[in-house]
Amino acid sequence: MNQEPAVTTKIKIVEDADATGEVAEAYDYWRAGSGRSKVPGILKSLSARPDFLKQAVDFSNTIQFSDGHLSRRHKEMIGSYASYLNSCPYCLDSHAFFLKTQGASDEAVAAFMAGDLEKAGLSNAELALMNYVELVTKAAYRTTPEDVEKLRRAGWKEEQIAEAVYIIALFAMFNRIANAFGVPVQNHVAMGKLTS
Amino acid sequence: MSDDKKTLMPEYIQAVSQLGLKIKLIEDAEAAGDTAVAYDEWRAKSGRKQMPGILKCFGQRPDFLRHVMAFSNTVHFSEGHLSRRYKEMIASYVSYLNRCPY
Repeated sequence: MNQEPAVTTKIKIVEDADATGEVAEAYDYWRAGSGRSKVPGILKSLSARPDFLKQAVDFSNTIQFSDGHLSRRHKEMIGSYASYLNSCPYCLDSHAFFLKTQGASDEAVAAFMAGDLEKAGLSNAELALMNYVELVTKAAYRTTPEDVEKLRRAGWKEEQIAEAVYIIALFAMFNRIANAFGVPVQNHVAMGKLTS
Repeated sequence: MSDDKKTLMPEYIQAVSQLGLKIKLIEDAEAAGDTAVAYDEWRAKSGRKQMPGILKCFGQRPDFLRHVMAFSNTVHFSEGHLSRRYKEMIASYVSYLNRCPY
C-alpha cells in the first residue's frame, strides 16, 4: 500500500485516518452521500466544527451541486470564474473539472483555468453573466442597477440573477477557506478524473 | 437620509446606500408558497415580525434560505471555539472591509 505524502496546511486539519468522534461521523456522512472515500481538503478544513461541516455538505448540494434556476453547468462556470478571480487554485481545479463533467470542451476548461473567457466559446448571455461574476467578486458594493439590467437584457430572469449571486457568494466563502488553510490542489483537471 | 443620521455614517456607507436595491427581494407581503413558509419559520423562531433584508435576498430559494438560517445559528449566532462577542468583532470588521453597511 502506498504511503500518502504528508501534506502541510497553514492551519491544522483532521486527516481521514485521524478522524474520531463527531469528525469521523461527519466525514462518513460525506462519504455515504458522495460514494467517494477520501474527504476533499476543503471539507477537512471544516473539521474544527463537524456540525458546520455537515451543514456545508447539505447546503452545497442544495445550491451548487444540482440544477436550480440556473443549470449545474452555469453554476460550475460561475464557481470556476469566481475561483480564478479570487486566486483559489484548489477550487478552480475542482470546479473546472466539474464543468468538464457538465459537458464543457477541453478548450473551454483550459480557458476557465487561465481566466481567458474569450476562448471559452461562451454565448453572449454567458459572457454577460461572467462579467457580472467579476463585478460582484471584485466589489459587490460598487455594482449598479444598470449592471443588473444588462443581465436582464441578456435574457437572465430575476430568480437566475439571484441564484447567481448566491453562488458567487458561496465561492467567496469557500475560496477564502481553501486559501487561508492552504489546501493542496487535487489536480483533477490535469489527471482528467477525481483524484480523491 | 436625515442630516444628523448622516453625521453618524462614514462616507462609504452613504455612498453604498445611495445605490439602493438592485435585484428584486421577495418582500414579506408578497411571499407565497414555500418562501412564505420559510419566512414564517424564521418569524416563529426569532419572535420578530419583519424579515431582515439579508434573508429576503434568499427568497428565490427558500430551501437554501433554511440552510442559511441553520448554519448561521450553528457557526455565528452562538458560542463556539470563539465567543459570540469575538465573532461579532470579526463580522463587523469584515463588513467594514467589504464595504457592507447593512
